[in-house]
Amino acid sequence: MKKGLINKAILEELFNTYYNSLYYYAYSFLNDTEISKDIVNDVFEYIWVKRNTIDISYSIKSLLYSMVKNKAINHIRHQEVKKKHHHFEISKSEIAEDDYQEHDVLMKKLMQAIEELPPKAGLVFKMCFIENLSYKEIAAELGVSVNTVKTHITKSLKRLREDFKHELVLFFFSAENK
Amino acid sequence: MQKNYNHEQIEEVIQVLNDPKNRLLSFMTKYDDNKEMLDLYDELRNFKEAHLNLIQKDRPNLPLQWQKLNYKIGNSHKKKISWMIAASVILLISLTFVLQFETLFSPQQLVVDNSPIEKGEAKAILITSSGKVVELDENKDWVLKEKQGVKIVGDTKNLIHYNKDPISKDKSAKMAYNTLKIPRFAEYQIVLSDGTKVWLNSETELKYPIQFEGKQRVVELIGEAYFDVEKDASKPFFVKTKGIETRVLGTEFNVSAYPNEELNITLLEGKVQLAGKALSHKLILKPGENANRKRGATEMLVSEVDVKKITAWRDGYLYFEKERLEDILIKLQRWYDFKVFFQNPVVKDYEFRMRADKASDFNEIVNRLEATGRIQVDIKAKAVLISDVKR
Repeated sequence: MKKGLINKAILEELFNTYYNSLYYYAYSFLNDTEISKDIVNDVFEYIWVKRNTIDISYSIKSLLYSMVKNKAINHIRHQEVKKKHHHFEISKSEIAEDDYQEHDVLMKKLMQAIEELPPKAGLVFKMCFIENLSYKEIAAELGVSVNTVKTHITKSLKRLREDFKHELVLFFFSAENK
Repeated sequence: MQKNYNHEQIEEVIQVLNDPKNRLLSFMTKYDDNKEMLDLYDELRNFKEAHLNLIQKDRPNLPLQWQKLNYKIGNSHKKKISWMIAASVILLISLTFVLQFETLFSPQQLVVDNSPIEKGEAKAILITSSGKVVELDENKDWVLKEKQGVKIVGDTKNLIHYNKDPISKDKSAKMAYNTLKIPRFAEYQIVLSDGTKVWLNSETELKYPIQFEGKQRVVELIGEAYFDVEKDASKPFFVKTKGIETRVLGTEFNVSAYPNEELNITLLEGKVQLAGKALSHKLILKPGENANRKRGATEMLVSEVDVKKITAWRDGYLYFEKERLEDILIKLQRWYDFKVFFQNPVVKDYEFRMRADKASDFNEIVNRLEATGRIQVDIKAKAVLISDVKR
């Protein structure tokens, strides 16, 4: 990562490098495109406003991801609070800055694994996770039983978990080495 | 991580992912101290995130979002500049038109390729341990399988990673090497198997093992690279170049070692020691120091430098601090596609100071050199003719 403070050129580079990934990160929490964009924009605005106090040699990547996560969860929290008049405490683990250095590597691996799913399983997976259809709706659309849909999902998740596990092992391994 | 998936739990988490507004918070409250369920949520959320990335669902319009952000953070200054650029572009266009108009009607008309000098297209080359030569396609993500269960992962941002599959059965103990060759006009970034990051400048070659075995980490460099070495006190890192070995213990430094050019090793952070056949005694660099060996010289001289200037190339800038014109042009040729001719050899030794964005047009750089009033630059197709203004 680069040294020193953020200028406009660096901001633009960070924007071009991370915008999409951050957007999909927010999207995976919120399932909402507009709020996801707003949150990512807010985060970039924040680092610009604070540009003189943020040293980007300290992982800016982790900072960006952590802020997106916190903002996404806070957004939902505020909505829920308005609705139910509940009081919630922010747990520490949500504020703590996680390490996102390996995040893109993990995503890349998972993307590849998803791509390699058998066609039918991949389709069911997409209908379920991306198109937000229920098991019942998927079964009806594909003309199969709900149980078949369940089996597809379980099998896909098992396969993905295999890859995911390796990634975790790798991650801990590298963390120990530091 | 729990061992097996349970249908009910999966379904519950999927419902949360699909309707977070109404379900996420109650889910988190309900399972506040149930790590298993929270982990399952995070795992499935990761799958969803990866899938969204994969199909680039509802992909935002980046230029538009950038514009929005600029509007928000206030940008009157930049607007003015872009108007100035627009104005100068118009001026340039009209000038070109006048010039072309002249050539059009001049009696001896030459056929000249008037296309502007561009930043060339170039593909990096990876030579695998088996000697296979792979042209790296910068337009798509790719994965290559290497020996010892190592996977090479590349992406469209000219970045390469080395990942090892921990359960690989390939235990071939022999060191396997890869060589990455960066041609003119290109740049690459690589993360070695130990996590060391290396930024490679144009016309650079790096040879490294796909995994660091034994008690040392050794790479070989021709050209220029910036190293951010992963700390590992038990395994010192060596960069071999031009008869000099740079020994490292977790640090950041820049090495510029092009054939037929001076050698520069600059330390930004940490500590490095220089040794090797080409040196009579060992040298230790402190942060901010640069060791320089002139062309044809035998000794290395250490001096303090502004490291920002040395590493400007990595941040996307071309930086010249009172450098000879000939040297500047050699460096520019790594980035722009042209051939240079000197009308008066004396101009080769003229010294210039310049900082330019690598994204800028070649014309812009030429204009700035000419603006010094010392040289005149004429461009015909890919030939650049430089003459002394005084003669």
